[in-house]
Amino acid sequence: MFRLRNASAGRQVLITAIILTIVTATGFFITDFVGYRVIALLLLMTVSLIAMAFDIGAVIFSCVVSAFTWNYFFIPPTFTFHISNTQDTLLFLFYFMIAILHGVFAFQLRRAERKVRDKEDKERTIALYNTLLNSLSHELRTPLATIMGSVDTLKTNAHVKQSSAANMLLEEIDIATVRLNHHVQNLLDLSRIESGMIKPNLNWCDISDLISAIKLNFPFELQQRITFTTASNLPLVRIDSGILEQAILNLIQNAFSHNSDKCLVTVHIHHENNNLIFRVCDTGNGIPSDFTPFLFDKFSRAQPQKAGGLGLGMSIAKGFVTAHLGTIQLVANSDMGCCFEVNIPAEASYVNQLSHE
Amino acid sequence: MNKGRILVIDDEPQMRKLLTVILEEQGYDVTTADTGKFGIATAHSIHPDLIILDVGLPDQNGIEVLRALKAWYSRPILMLTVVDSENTIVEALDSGAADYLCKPFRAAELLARMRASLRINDVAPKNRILQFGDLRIDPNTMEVFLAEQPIKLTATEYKLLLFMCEHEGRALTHQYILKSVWGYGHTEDTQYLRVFIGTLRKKIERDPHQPQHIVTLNGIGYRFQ
Repeated sequence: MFRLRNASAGRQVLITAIILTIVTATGFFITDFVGYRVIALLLLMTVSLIAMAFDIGAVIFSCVVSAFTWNYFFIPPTFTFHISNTQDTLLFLFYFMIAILHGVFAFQLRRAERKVRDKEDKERTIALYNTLLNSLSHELRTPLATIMGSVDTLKTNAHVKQSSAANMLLEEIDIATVRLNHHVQNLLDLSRIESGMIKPNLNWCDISDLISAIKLNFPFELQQRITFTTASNLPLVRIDSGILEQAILNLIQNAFSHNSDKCLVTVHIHHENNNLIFRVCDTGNGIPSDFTPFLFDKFSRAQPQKAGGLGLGMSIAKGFVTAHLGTIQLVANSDMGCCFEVNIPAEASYVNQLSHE
Repeated sequence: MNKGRILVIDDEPQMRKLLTVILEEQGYDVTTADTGKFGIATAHSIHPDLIILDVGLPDQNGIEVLRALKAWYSRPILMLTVVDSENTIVEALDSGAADYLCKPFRAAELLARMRASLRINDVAPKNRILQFGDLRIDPNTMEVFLAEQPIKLTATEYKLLLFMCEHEGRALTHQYILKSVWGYGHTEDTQYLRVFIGTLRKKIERDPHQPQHIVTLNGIGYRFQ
């Protein structure tokens, strides 16, 4: 129905003509049993159905054409536009009027309905935009406020400079800048993804390099909570390790930021049928099932009221994976944790004997 | 105490001020320039020991400035960039930059990169024994020791290790390593380089999965430390 509605005006008229031909042909066979006046009702019903789906042009077209077909094929004398008795002339005129009124009303009703729907959509977008703006300003302004406040205190209060409070304030500035840097990185990544500018730069890579690169993004305590396992004799693979580092990194960060301090993450990597497969699993609380459809939407968060995130991590992960022509999906989700599988098409090389030796 | 003369070419006044404070605190003599053109002119007149050059300059691309400087300037040039695009970094390194740093960076990181870049330009006595933590390389006898235990390396592995040690602390692109160790015909053989680095790590790293000496720069190359 939706596809029909979006069809061009010419195509709508064509479809209308086909429908009317079929109805007319059917009517032609049953007219002897039911009488030509019933056929008028049949055609009228067809016009109503067309008015529910199509634009005004096709509706008017169906009214006019159906009226004249009825006249030509069914009103005696058949196969002429001539109508012999007054009753039929009146019927024909009524048919014409009812069909036009009916079609126009149905069309207007639909248009009003669409207007309401558009308005609702707009309101929803505005609401979404407001939440987004709120969380964005909160996430960006909180660290900025920390930095400004700390710097002001350090600048104006001479006695603070020597005290241990100074170190504490410097520490706060440090934490705030790291947080700010993380958000800026996320927003930049998002705009890079949205612009479609990311083209994978394929190069032969050793997976253990990728693993250590991912690990180095985390402080020592968090590194202890990540376990990487790989299939034995994993080949060299042709990938863009920068893009994949960002994708997997975001998955792991997401697991840590949404679960308790006890949450552990395991990443298993193997290569099969020219695909590099990452399985990222955590021991957290899982993802609320009503949230899973929106998991990869940007700025969507499972717990929007909780501070500390823009809701970009998963959409960035997906964006990077897609840029690498891969797929990402949630493959397991329970209150014991969840698993994501990332599938990347990647050529493999088992070079062991080297020609230069 | 004067550790050397540094030229900072960056269009952001705040960045110039910050770098001046950090570097003067460390005993360097700092001159600044806000455009590529002025930077090149200043480099001509003061002959700095090291240049810190921003990639995004208002008048011309930092990479072009780098190439113009490299035509006659032989001391290290350290690139600063806000775009962590690997292509830009590789282009800068292959055009002769000694190293790179992505903004925002830590002061300690900047100073470490500068020290490493300045070191490479010192005339080191040939065939001196190289020591990195518990790894020792003796170029006279071509022997390598890890925690006093001798390690067997193939000729190519040794050549690769020695090359990386001699460029300690610097970012080395795949192309540069391949060209220097294997020769011009092999600059596309990154696959071989990966395999060699892998076997070398197994021999010289305590944990090959968490390398301490041969660090991977994703999409760029390696850094030996």
